[in-house]
Amino acid sequence: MKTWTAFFLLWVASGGVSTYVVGRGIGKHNLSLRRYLPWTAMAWLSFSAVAAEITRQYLTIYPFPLMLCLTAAIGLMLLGICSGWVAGWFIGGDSLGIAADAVAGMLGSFLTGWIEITLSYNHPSYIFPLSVLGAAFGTMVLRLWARAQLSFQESGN
Amino acid sequence: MRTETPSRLKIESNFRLAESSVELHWPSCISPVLWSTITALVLRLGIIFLFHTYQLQTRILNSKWIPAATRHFAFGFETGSIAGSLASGHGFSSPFGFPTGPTAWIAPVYPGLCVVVFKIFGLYTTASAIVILSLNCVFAALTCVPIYLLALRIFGKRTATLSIWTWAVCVFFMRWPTTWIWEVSLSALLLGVLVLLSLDAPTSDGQKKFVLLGCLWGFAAITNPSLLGAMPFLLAWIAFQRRRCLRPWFKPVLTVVLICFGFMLPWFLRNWVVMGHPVFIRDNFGFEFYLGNYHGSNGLGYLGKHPTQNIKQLRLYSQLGELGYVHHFKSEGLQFVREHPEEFALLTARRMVTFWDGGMVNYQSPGFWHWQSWELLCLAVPAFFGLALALGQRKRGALLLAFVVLLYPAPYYLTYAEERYRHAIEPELLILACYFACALWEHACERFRRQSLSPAAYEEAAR
Repeated sequence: MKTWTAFFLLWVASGGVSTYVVGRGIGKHNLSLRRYLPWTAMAWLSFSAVAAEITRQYLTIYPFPLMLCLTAAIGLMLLGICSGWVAGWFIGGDSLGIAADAVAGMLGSFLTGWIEITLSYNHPSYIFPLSVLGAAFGTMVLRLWARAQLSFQESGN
Repeated sequence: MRTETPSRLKIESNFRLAESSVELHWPSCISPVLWSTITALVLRLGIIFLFHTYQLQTRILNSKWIPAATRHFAFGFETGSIAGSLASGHGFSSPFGFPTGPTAWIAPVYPGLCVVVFKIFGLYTTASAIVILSLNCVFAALTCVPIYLLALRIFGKRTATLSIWTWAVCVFFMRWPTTWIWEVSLSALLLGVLVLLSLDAPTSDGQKKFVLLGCLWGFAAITNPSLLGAMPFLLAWIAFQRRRCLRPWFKPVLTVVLICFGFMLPWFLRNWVVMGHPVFIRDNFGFEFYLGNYHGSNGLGYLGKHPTQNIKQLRLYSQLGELGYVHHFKSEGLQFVREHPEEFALLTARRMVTFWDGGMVNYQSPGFWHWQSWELLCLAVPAFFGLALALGQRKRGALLLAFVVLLYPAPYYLTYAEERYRHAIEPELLILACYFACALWEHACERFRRQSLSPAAYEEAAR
């Protein structure tokens, strides 16, 4: 239960931080996330519960110490933040800000790394490159979505 | 009489614009398509003869565990066995080389094609193996045509050219047509043509294109029923686009569905009469489902439980008959799901990941042509980036590619994933990957040009 709670809180916190930062970026452009918030929160809470359960099951088979797991999670997040920044700089153009790029990268890297660790049959050497790509993917998706929102706003609708 | 509203005109003009650009360039399309098709064919045939891949089919399986009747099983596995049975006058039967009676284990088109070759070039001969593999190569080479036209219509000429030449010369795409007697290359060609016809369908006026689409869906269904997974979504896309253009959508879509079912009907009736039970196209889903889903399974389909690998299973198959055997294992599979729903959900999630990241290759014995999972990722990762980019930029047809790429593997998420199952959607994945590569290249050039110029000079250059 302790493992499940720790990972559930980790997922919820990462989702909450991402929503807060992206929401702030959107707020600067006079747009609002409120419309999507209840649905996004519900989906994310459900996902966090499932993800925490998968992680718990994984740790019953490979009993790594909890501290090691949390350190790895923080490592993935830092890797994602750096990759997100770099990807955001490379993509350029309209954005919701550097912080939004970083959290999108963080979430992308965290998700990809977690999937590769718990659900994949690949070798551990795949985790690092795929987490970097996951971070870049997260940032790209956020920027594409943000551009669509901003162009929608500019078109006067 | 249709109403010419401004929105209709706007939407139609977008469609027409995309089509006219293709029509204008049509004569210049022929040359790259023709050359890439010829190159693809020559290179694939070269692999067959250089590496003698036909010998993989004609090898005799000699082991005390293998009955004498199944020693030709390496020749196309179930496909080859059924085709052999048909060619020797025993009907569509005996999928494991051993006389076991009528079957619906696999769909009929590809074994039917093999029968024609067996009748002309002999049963399980080297000549037959070469001809069937060469036919696979022809299907693979012809796939250049839908790849080019799809990429041209959705993303433009640069992506189209890069896609066909990558398909033609990249060794990664040559494995299945040159080494396996199975319908994978034909499936890839059929799916490519189906997506292409679906892309054109929203602006088609006559019934001709819908009749053709229905026939092709029917043919695809009796070649590889997994392709049908994408059908409802592609038809829904056509209906939605036609509705947006204020064109009639119900009748054309119904035409496609009816003709498709009409195409499948004879096979359905044959199964009912011969097997004594209604069987849609193939009857082995329950068994394949069990192979990937039992307590303690890794979800990757343990072939040690397959009649092709296990003499006890083959005996059980003979005893119970095909439908009884499949029903037996289907019940076991479903019982596992009822008793261990969490484990089933976890296995399904693992299979979804494995289908895309290629992790399954770490659990397969290295054969003649073995891949590493990073090689599979080299296609999947840029394809997903390309898909996100295409959807983000609202490219017409991007949603169609998304449906095909994401929904075709659904049966494999439930059963088990093998790398050859991905081949049917590899043309679409390649187009998306090439689109991403082109977009990345253009963006990188632009990005570094902008950095090397001062802001004022850049503004000037941009003007």
